[in-house]
Amino acid sequence: MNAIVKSKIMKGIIITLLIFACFKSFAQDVEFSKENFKDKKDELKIAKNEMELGDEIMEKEAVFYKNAISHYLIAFKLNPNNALLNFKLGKCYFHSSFRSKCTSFFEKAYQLNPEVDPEILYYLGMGYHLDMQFDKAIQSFNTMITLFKGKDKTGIVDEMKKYIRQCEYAKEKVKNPVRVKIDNVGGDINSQYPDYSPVITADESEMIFTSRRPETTGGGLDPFMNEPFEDMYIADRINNKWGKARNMGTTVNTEGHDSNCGLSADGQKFLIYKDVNHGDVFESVLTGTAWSTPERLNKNINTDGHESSSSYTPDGNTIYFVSDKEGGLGGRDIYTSTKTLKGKWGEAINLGPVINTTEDEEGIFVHPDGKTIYFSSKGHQSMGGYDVFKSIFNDSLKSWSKPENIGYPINTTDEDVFFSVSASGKHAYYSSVRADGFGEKDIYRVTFFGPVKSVILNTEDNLIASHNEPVKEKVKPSRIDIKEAQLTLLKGVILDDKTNKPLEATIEIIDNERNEVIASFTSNSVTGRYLVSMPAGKNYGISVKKENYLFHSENFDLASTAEYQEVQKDIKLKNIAVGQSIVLKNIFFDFNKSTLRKESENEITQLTKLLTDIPSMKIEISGHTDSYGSDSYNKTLSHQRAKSVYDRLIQNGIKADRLTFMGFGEEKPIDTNETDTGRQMNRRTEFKVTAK
Amino acid sequence: MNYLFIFFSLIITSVSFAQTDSIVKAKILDDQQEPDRLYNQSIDKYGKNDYEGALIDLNQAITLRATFQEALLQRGIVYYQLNKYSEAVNDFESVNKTAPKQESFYFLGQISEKRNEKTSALSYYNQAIAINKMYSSAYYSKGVLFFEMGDFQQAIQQLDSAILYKPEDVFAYNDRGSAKMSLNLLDEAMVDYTNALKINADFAWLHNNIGSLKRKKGDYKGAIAAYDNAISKKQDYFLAYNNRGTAKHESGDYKGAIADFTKAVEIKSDYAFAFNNRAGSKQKLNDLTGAILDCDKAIQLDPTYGLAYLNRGILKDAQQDYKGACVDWNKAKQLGIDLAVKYLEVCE
Repeated sequence: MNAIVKSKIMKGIIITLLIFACFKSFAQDVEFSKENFKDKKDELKIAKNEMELGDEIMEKEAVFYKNAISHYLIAFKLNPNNALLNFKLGKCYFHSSFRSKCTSFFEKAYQLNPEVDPEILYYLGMGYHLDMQFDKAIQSFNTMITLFKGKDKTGIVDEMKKYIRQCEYAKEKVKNPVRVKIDNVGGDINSQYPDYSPVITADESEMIFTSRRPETTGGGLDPFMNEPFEDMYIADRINNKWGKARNMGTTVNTEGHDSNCGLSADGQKFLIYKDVNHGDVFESVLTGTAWSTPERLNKNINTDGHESSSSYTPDGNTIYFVSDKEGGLGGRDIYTSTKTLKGKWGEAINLGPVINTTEDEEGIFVHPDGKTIYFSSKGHQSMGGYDVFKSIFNDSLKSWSKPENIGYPINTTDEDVFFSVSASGKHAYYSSVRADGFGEKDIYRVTFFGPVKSVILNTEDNLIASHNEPVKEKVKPSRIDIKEAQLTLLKGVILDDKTNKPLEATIEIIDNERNEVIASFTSNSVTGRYLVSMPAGKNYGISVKKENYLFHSENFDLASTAEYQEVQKDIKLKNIAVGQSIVLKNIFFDFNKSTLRKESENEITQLTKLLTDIPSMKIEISGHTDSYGSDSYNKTLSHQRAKSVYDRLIQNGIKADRLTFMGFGEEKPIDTNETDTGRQMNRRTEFKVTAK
Repeated sequence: MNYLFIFFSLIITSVSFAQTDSIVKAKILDDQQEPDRLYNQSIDKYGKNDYEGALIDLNQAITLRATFQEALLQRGIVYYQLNKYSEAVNDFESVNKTAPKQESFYFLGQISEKRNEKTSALSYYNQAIAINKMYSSAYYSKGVLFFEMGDFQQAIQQLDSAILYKPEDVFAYNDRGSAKMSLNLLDEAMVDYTNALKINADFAWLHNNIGSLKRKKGDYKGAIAAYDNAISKKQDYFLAYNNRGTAKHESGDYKGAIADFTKAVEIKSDYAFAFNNRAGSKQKLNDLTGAILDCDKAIQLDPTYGLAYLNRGILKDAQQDYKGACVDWNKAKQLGIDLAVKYLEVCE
């Protein structure tokens, strides 16, 4: 070792010792005493007073701790090197909306005095965990385990081990983030106050959310939280932009807590949480522009326990809800209840151990595909606190898939609850405290980008020997399995054919295979708006009905592989008048035959009912074909098909003198015969009113 | 003696007259054959690719003999070679007015193809075939025409006939193989390519096509070997380098692929495809910055290269530069890339 190296080492040692000495002097715990603040007597007095005020608040429940922050910060300004003050500030932040700010205070408290509080290591670990400093968090939790080994009577070692598992899991999730874009939905919705729990209609055209704003109905403060009571707000999305949020009004918002839960796919009814009877679920229905007074759901859903979040299935016949009632699997569990034939909510059924854990589940959301649920859980492997999970119901196996953590950055080490996904599966909404927010919790829109796509290669070959120009080809990349929602959203307005006035009509969704009405909706009486969600894999008949109007039918035969689509269809209902005709879109025949297929049953029933309801009505049934085939063949086939419908109506008890039938073959096309779609339109069965 | 003198005098006179007559006759004959001589001369020049020289001869021949059908036909062909299509059409149509020839129809078909008048071309080939049912070249050209129009079934039928009447036609075997490959009839295509190879194994493009067929079948090792053969036949065959790079990419040898794409652009510095493809291999090796630079280069070389925009969007998307990705996908959509429409669904 030469002299220069030796001198360098010596120099290094001296510098290290100096730094350590400096650090020690900075890291000394400074008491709020006269000796330490000889020249600042007044400031010391103020600081001590403020600390006392803060301490008084901290004697209350944890939800109040955040109110002590401003007091403690005054004292902190005078003396930032007091271990206990740092610890208390850390605790206050830990229980506030700005939790991750706690870490630096806990860290300093521990540096100043590792024995400042028996819980310091726990809080320090939690702070590091929240702040995503996972290795430091693990180190703190491991130190706790060492300290408590052999002396643990409260299960703290197991708890620390659980946090260590969460940290390890979070490290992996952060390393492999899901590809999303997270945008604040903007100042028309978010405020400087907490805005949270967003729910949307299937087409993302409307949002209801909860907020605690000073202008809350009644203007009261929750005495337990010293914050305004919750009110619900509504906003519309027009031209891809959220409009100004509006308070939903005093019919649904009371002077107490009013928080929204589920919103139906069409936005015509929604579920409300009210802080009564330990927490119950209510329902309000939209009639025109007015929401009805919320009605408490029956005892199959609301018990003496705490019922909180809830969500409708797209057909509106089932709700999923969260309850901590007795008999569950532990903590808060998710249940489901389906309407009985009498229209009452049936017995609640626990979703079982695949979904529910011994810990809490919360924030249930049913996707408009009717088979995917999103919920939050502390019991499934999370990054910390509640994480959002996704599970899909397998209809053939009658079982739920293993819940899948939807990943970072949607899930964080903090509480991630209330996640609402659009029908397309491309967007989601949730609330979070983020640096780019308007204050407190804000509502954010998540855009899913799906898996990373691969670059597509280009090749070319001299495929034609006599040509110099090569033939170009794109190399097909291997398919990426993009998990998109497989459903069709049918939406639009229902209008009077003559006056164009919006109509409140009944929309029945029929499973043509099973000849069963699977859902029934009502269009809005003021706007005529309607929206129905049809998961792929069924032949759907749509029947739109209103008294004194001829019914309108649509057909959607959706293959199980059908991709997500939105179909805009404005429907004009025709008055019952002589000469009016209706295409019966759910009348099906076998190929080149006149035998009615069983999928036509419901349409025949609708027509029979119409004729029964109006005994004076007479109709002509007509068959039509496309231009394929000879004229005579088409005429004969259409005639026989019209007769099949005629025969069936007679079988159903309609008198023959009220019915006529005709086969027009290809004579009366309603669309081009040049395209498949046009030809499909031309192949049809119609009825025309001949007498009223 | 006098008789003898007269006799000899007569003989001499008659010989002298006969000589003059034959000279005159020979001169006339020579004049009459001048067009034929010029025609033959033009054929020799044509054989030596001296089209201008051939044209001068044929013009003289036709001036001397306006009804010289063979010369008119040949001049049409020479005009065709000189890309003087209007003049060529005049000559072929003149031939067809008097004595239609399979060649005149055939070349009219070729000119129609050059003018992108495919229906008209097909009609001329059919007229050529009507004159000679065994006219292999017309069947071949029809086959190529259907291939270009994307009607591979028809292409195969025509090439069947071309091969029937000319069984050693390596081009027809190759093209039929290509048509079958386009219909994904990969095994049948391989039979044709193999037959073509038996006739003549010297064509680099044939080995390249076999490589691409094997690549389609997922036989990357076989594909790479075939591309090797193509490159050995033609050292500067950048297209085969690009294809071999693609085969290597698809088999997971991204470094090897990058080497091939790089070689392709060394040979042809404006080869946008190779830059685009190298971006794909760089993506697999997580060199997203390098990949984007390659897409930049591909776009710079060909600003209408929609796929390169789509790919650059994909790379930006992978870098979580979603805004940039959307800008590129939008451009790709404008340039007619359908897939961009789907990708753009997440952009607002």
